Amino acid sequence: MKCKLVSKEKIILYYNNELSPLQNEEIKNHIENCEACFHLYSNLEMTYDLINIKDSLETNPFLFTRISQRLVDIKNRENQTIFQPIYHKMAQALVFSFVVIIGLLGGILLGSIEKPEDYEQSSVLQTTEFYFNDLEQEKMEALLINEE
Amino acid sequence: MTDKELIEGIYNNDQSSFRILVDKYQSLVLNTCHSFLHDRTIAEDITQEVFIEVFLSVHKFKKEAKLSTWLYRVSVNKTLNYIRDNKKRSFIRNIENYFTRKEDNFSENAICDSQHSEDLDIQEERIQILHKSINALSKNQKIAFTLSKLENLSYQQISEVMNLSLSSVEGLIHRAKHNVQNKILGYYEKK
Ligand SMILES: [Zn+2]
Repeated sequence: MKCKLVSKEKIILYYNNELSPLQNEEIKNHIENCEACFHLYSNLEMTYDLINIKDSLETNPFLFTRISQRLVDIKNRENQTIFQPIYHKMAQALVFSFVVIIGLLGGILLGSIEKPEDYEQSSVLQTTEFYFNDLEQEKMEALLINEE
Repeated sequence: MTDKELIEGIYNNDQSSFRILVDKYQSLVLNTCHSFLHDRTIAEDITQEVFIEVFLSVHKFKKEAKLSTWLYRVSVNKTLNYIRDNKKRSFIRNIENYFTRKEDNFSENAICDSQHSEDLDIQEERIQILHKSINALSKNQKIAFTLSKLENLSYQQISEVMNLSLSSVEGLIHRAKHNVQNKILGYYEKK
């Protein structure tokens, strides 16, 4: 159903009392005699008027208890996240010192198994130790950067 | 206790001040959320979140501001964020509801095919059309229109909540009203 004479906008203006008295009278007469416009106008009125029905919700007596519980949960979670990095750092430090000790012991062990000439052996051991230390130091720096 | 004293109390970690504030304003927050959502359970969830945010960010609250304005603002923001994040999910739920409701109607009609239940269906449909038409508005029009027509806030209050001039609020509500009515006519034009 569509009316070719009157637009939706005109019906809206009429509904809101926003037309001039002359136009108002014109549209009023038209709506009374046009089935399509009467259908639109009456449905607009019956639907839009529902906006005036106010259904105020009753409040929940347990709301405060629930909010308090959620705040406790939030605080607990916050505490966990504060402690987590500390545990994390401690674990990293432990692994790091473990690797250093194993490395040193391994080096000493290797040195004591093979016994070539004294001078050569000590220089090889020294250089490997240096490489080893360099590597570890780099790891330590990277670790600190990552942590920052 | 005045609002200022309540805020001061919460700032100093006083539980009873917070309890009084929740009791005093929970109706305002709940109904504001509900007027955008039309779903009681979700509105209650968001109400909890609003008060949690108030508790956690009370230090940010400006002392010269009005507490109710702040509460309206937090409620509207949280509700619209929820709607934005759940558009997809609610679309699927609406489809599900549509089918289950059709089945319900079917069995209901089989038992009692009275004029009364038919009237209720038409009324329910009208309410749905109204809500959908409001939901289709742009964000600012929706906020201004809902606070004005469903929550009965004055233009002055709305301008404070939305941080806009009075004339902007007037313009938004006027355009929103026309857009909602145009949408409603669009539904009935097709019928
Ligand atoms: Zn007509």
